Amino acid sequence: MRRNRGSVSLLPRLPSVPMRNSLKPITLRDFSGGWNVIDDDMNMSHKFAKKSYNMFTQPDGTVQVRYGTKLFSDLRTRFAGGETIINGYYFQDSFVVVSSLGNLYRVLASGAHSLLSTGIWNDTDFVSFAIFNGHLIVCNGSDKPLDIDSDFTVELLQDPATGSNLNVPICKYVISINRYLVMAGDPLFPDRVHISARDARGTWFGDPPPNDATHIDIGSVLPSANTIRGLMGFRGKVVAMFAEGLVFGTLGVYNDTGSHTPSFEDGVEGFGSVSHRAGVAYGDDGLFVDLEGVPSIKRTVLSASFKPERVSDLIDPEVKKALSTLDFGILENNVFSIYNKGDAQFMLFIPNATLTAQRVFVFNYRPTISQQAWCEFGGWNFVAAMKSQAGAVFFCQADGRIWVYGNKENPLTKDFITGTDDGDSIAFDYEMPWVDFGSRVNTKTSKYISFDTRGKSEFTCEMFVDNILSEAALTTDFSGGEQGGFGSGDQPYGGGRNTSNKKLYAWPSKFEIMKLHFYGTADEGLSFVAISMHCLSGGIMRP
Amino acid sequence: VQRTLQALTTLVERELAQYAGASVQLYAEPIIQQRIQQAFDYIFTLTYWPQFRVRELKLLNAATGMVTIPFANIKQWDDVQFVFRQWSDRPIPELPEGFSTQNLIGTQAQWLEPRIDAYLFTVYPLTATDQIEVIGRNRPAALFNPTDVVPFDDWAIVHYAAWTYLVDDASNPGAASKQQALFDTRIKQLKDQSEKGVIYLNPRGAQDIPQRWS
Repeated sequence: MRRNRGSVSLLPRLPSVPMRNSLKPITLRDFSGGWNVIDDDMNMSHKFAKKSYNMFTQPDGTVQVRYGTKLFSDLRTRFAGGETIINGYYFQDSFVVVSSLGNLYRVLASGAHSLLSTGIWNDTDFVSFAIFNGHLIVCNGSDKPLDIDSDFTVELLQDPATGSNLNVPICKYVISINRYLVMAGDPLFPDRVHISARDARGTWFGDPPPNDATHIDIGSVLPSANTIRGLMGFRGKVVAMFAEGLVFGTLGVYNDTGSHTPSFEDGVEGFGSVSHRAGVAYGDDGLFVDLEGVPSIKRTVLSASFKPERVSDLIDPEVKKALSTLDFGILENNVFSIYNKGDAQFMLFIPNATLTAQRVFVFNYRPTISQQAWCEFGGWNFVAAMKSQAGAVFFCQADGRIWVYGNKENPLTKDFITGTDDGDSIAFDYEMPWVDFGSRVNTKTSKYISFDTRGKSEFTCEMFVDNILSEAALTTDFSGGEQGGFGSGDQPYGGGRNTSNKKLYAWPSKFEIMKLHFYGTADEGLSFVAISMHCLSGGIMRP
Repeated sequence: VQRTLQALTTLVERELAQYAGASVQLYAEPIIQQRIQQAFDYIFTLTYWPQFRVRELKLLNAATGMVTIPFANIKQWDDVQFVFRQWSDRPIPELPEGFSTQNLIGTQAQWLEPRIDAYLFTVYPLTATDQIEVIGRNRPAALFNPTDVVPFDDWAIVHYAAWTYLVDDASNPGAASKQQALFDTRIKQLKDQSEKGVIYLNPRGAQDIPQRWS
């Protein structure tokens, strides 16, 4: 370096050793791994998250604060004291909602609602639905099933020839598959699968001919299993769920005498399910919930057999912790899931033992682009989830309110928005693993940090260094990159630290490994695209 | 121009391409303000700037070689430029370290020896009784607060602070060199200006200093 001679200089003359160290930018832009509690965060790729609360992974690898909810319909004006929503289902152009008193309500797309039936059923704490030949069949496991016509007339499911429902089984679980209506969860025969006559929803075993209805006890397929916890129709097969495993059945097999002889011979032990309401079939995959986590089945291409997997490996301890305090009653009645097509999310709702709070385990699953990422949603306590034909997702609150969940087209940024309340901010928390920038033991001197973000919400960024979690080395509040300047919407006092501003934000620290932690309460959306730091790389010695 | 510490901080942030503004740079501001303080302290001691010059008249105590009342404006020995006896234009010299004082007697101050307290120096012989005039520089008492005006040329301080910050960044040697060159140039200008006054050439007697040019 040429020295500036003949003028005042502050630095002592240095030996002519070349100084080559320079500030290097390091950008973290892959958050595709999602929540991971299995791996030690000291030895985890930065694409995973030690914590991902109310933040989900987008297919492009960015991570985004979840959408909020907006009031869609309010049944509280129709509910008697203590009446609560048990479950709901999309049928024709409406939602059919069943309450704890056994009443059925219809909710139109406008949110307007009407009473469909009352007094047919007794009090109930579980409801399952199946659409069969344009009729909605409703079961609760304690009363005879209901049959809702396309004009929303509600009557008891009955044999059309006799007009009797004597032989219609009382079951908790109902599905329709391959021209049959299938029921299970018979309190008298817990391992029995009831199969209706072909194309006849009300004709069951025992009704007069023509009748090919039958039933089969399948507990012996899995030696340790005795109670069916749910049913699912999956790629032309009936999947009977036991807590201990799954049993696959084939319908439509007839013997020489013309009797229906369904085959239930393929069982998979160790991959079971504890909740009919939590099973989801989507494309080639079926997702369940057992006592360990979330198993899945996938139909193999060559043999058409089913391959079981455990997709929740990375968060199994957390799912197990949430499930461990629940008895089978809550597992069957109050654990439920829904597949949100818009964001390709399997959302699994698990309440606590007193039903006063809820954890939502969310699996972002797009097999075609190899996206498999977990996260956790919270701040909710819903009792049921429904989706419309267009794919919009709705959540039912026990008290009678039904909320629509945001999506890309309607990105609600706050929770529980009503006509008179602009809603609650969404708390979020995202913790990265320890990051060593490619050299574990070399010191790094960070100088600046910058972000690429979407949305307008503020967030706090903390940096921990060198496995010291008791106190953050650096903490600063920033604003989403789409937040406007003064006069353009709300900003924090002083204007905030906008992350789209490409001027530098000082971030001075020295470390071997570091961990970033983002948290806050979002009310105007927020997603992280990339995080950049400017660091000097040093040696292994620490002063 | 003289500016507050906060205003100087904002100028430095802009020179560094950092987001400027009060409390925006949570971590850069304390560092920049320390660099500004460092710049002022360095510049203050670079020379005896005339704008900081103060004169204090003191009486010696005739017993221990100290002034009777400690100094208020001149705060340390480094800030003492000259000490004069009454009726003399010759500065009292600093006592050589190899000089013995045990045989020094009399009432006229002959030597100074630095002290670390507010009395600043000891006069030998200890029994000296003169009134003395001390010329020195008035150092600001404490570290600057954000609202305090830093009493020196703003750009000299800004370039110094930006330079030292950029050197530590190691991101752009050219930017660091630019700030260094600007600081060097500015401080040289200021030194030249400070030396434009009359140089007093004859300490032994009155000098004919022209008051006007006609």
